[in-house]
Amino acid sequence: MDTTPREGTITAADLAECMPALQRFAFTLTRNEDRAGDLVQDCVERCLKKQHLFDGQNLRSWMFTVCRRVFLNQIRRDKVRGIPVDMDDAPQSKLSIAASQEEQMHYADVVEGFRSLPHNDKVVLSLVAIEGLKYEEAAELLEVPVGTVRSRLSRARTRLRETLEQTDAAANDDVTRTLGTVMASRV
Amino acid sequence: MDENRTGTASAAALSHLITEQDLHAYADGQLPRARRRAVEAFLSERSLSAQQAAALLRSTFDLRAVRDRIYEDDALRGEVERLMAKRAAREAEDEAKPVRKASA
Repeated sequence: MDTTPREGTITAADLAECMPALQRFAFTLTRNEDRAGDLVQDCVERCLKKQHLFDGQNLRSWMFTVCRRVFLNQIRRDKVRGIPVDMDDAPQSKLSIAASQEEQMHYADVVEGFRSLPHNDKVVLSLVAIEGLKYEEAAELLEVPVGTVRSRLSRARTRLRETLEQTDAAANDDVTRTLGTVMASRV
Repeated sequence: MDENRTGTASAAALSHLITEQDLHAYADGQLPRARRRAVEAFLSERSLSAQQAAALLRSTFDLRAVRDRIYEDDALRGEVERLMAKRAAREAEDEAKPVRKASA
């Protein structure tokens, strides 16, 4: 088998091999099948357009990099527009409204889950995740070691995730089904 | 030296050393470029980690989106404001230092 890195070329077979992992990555980021599909499509288009930049080493890893960037760009763009709806989607406005209601419910769950956290966890999450401080800066302000900031963050996010998973699982059969598929594919 | 190549080589070499905390740092945008690549190389091999990392990224975005509602908690808002003011004061102090030295 030819394992020589082929710099700057991506074959359809290479791409197909990466798709399941990329789709899962995109679904977890967007929490919505339509938006995940859009994200994967944007990501693949971008990878093909920029394939001369691919170093021929690890396509899946490179696609994750591109996917993260495309997603962050989409978030910034949505923020500027104020609504997470693509103008091209106008004829599907019913779908978009449903998606945005789903989004609002999710945000309500996030707020609710956050409120249930201990005060110290709220503070560290606010400083790092919301205010965007470096771990070192947060540690200095809180007068604790950086390791404490890291472990508080980790614990706070685990608690938040567990709360959200409980509400999501109860409210959304699709999510449960998708997670089930993901878990099954790993067995 | 070609930085890109070195980055890729070390990314592959380091990818078995990625910890859960690296995933958090990745989601918080706190990793230098080479380390971020190493995390992505790691994620590309492990579907569960990729799910975790994506969920962490998403969670940060969610918290920023609901920032105003989160800060309706007076005790929390008060403390964050106090800490951010402390940080701003320190930064101002740091900036003023060389000037003071010069004038001393």
